[in-house]
Amino acid sequence: MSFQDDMRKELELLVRHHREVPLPPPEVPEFRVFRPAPEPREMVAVDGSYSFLLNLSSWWLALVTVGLLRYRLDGGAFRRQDWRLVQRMVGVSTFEEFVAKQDELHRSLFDFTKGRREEQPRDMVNEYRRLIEGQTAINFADDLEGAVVAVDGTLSEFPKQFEFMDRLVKVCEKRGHLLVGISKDSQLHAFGHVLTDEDLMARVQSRLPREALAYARAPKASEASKEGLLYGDIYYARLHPRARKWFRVDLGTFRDQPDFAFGQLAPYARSLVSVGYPWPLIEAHRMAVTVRQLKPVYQEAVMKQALRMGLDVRTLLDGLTEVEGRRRSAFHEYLDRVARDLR
Amino acid sequence: MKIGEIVAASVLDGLVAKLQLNNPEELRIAYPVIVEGARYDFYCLVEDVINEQSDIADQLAGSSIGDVVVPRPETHEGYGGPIFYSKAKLRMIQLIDRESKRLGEPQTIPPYFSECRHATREDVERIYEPTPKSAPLGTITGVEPFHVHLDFEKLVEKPFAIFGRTGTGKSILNKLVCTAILAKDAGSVLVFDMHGEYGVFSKTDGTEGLKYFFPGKVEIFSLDPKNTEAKPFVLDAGQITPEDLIIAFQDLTPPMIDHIYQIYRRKPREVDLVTAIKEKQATDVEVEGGQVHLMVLQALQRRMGRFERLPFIAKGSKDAFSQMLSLIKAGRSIVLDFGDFGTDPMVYLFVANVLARRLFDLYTEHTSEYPRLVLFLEEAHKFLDPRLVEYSIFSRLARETRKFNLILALIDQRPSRIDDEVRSQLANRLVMSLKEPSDVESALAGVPDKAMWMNIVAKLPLRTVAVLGDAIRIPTVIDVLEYDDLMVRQHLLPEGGVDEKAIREIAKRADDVLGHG
Repeated sequence: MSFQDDMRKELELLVRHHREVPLPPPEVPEFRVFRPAPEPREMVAVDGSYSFLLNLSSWWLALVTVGLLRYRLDGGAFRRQDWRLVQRMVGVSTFEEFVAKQDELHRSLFDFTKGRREEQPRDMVNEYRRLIEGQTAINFADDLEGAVVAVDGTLSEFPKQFEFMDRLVKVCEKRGHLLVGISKDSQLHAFGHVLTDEDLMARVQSRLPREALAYARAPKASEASKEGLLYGDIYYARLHPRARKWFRVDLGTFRDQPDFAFGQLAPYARSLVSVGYPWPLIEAHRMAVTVRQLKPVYQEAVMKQALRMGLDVRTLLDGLTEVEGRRRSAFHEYLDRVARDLR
Repeated sequence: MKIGEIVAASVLDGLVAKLQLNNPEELRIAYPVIVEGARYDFYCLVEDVINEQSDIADQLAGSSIGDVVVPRPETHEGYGGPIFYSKAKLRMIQLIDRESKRLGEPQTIPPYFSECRHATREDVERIYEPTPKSAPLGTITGVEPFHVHLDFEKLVEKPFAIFGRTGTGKSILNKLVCTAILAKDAGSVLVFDMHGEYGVFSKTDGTEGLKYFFPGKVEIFSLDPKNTEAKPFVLDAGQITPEDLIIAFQDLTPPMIDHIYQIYRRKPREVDLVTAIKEKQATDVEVEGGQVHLMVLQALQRRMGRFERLPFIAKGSKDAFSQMLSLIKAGRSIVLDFGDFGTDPMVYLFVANVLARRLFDLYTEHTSEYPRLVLFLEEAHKFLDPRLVEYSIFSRLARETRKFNLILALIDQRPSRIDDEVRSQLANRLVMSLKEPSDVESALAGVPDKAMWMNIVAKLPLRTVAVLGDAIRIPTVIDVLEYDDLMVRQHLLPEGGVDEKAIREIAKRADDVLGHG
């Protein structure tokens, strides 16, 4: 049997299941139609990114960058009012005995990501990024009143005493901000369906009136399962009638007024660059990912410093990483390169 | 104001700046820009403004979604960032050492991310330093009003040209150039005034002429007996040579040209060439021997008939040339008004060639006796067409007379029809808008950074001129001055250097003659 026969058989199965999947009854999900606010509040958007720069045995060095922008919607135009760019160099270790001697933050990060094995350094830095995003948002939000605070991703955090998300929710409540966390891509199955929630929404959106803006709340059971980590209610929203995608939106404040909340978000999701996703978050993302675009610059600074500290060149070069932390000198990377270059 | 940062650079290919302008329309070709390097300021000209193709723009363009916000600078602040931005290609023209303020050729490049900004008045003042013989020709484009000076002493040292298609303002520019030459005493001028534009007032647009501003320096001669205000121009028929006829008629066939030379060689000394041709009777021997072809001779004689209608050609009469010459010797300038004959190209070609030839002979033989004279030649390509150039004196004039104080200034709309060798002698070019690619190419032949200048010249608006040559510090695009009494007095004429009484008197007489309002 050739691989083509295999492929046909397996693909047929996939396609049949995907196409013929039974859809839930009409009341699930429970769609709500809403209208965009005619004069929306200002929006503060926060997004972060990171880039690994060096790996020495079980120690990793990464740079985290968080971009924050405040926008005003002036009729049909997005007006940038203010911005912040925060950069923090982070060192993480995956060796338990060493981590035990580190501060509480590192220990918590380690514990939270334990069991992820090879993915652990990445997850640790990723959680670190979320922490810095949260802190940046808290600091900024505390100086403003009555805005929309939109952070990238879910409104959740790693447990224990680093309750930055809790503090962010509290600051937003105190200052009257609408707090939302918008996930670019969600793999959640909150509706307990074989399709991911996002795919399910796309599949059943024909039940909605044409051109309607809508949201649907995820079953509360799915939120309960995340209790202790999640600081909001999970919704899926279509923020523009022609949006290609439904986004998971966690509502952290104004939880009893989802119509108001989504009405505030929708006007910002009208940019043709990405219809249905708020423009300020696109801009914040652009700021954040400069850490990846400029990785060679940061890496060079690390190399110079490490050499000055007496690290030998061979070790240093072996320790250079791809952005996600995998060593460039990893043996399978070497084999891949050999395979590519073989003629 | 910062307009962008350098993202690519090459000494040979120039710089590329990523612009931070919300609107690329704020920048135009030929605008001066300063790039602030670490040690030097780079004075550059905008060579091109570019919005590069982008996949995302291709996808978004033409969107049918009604209420979305189309990403434009006015709707998306931050739009000028990594998604949609414009670039500018910059050509380095001069290097300014920030400490010593010395200028130099750009032999290096600024570092990445060097800031670019619009040139300010202060920047351009450093570049265009006035000299005692310099005068402004207009304002620099893309900077707050700043009058750019040309060194007119340098300009008239060697042949130069004004190129531009019809209607771009060549005549006005030429008038400004003549005015500046006279105002700065850089030399005298001889202008063949086909359309009555250079005398007291222009017959075409009513603007002031050279005689108006320089009544004591300019004399008007006229071919037209009706113009009683000017000195009569009379040409002794005995002075006409075969070359004058060949240039005048332009369409003579090689056999006709052979016949002219044959008649010229055999005619009695006291008979002028035109009469000799008209009265030539071919003998049987000549016809049978093939020395004369009757058809050719008759065609020539018909053409000579046109000379009978020219009142200024008189056999054996007192030629005006000697009178002109003594005026030129005294440092005066001459405007030769063609009056009603201005519409006859044959007359213009004939007279200009006769005068130029005689001037050439005198200047080459008695250089020290004559002051610098600039001979302005409109429709230059008719004299310098590669087919006719061997018969015209102007080719030699362009090549040789810089040594003899007689300088040729070409004014033309078809530079591609001018002989290469003549064009190569031009030390300065004032190039206005040209559309025909071959003309643009020819007008800029031999110019450094030719490709850039071709691009600029092809897109020049009216009344704008690219000046290239040694009369200006760096090649520059200039918005030509308005040509009127006030502007000329304000920018070109020396203070108190004009005899107001004489001007008024001349203007009054001109009004009487020309009916100017």
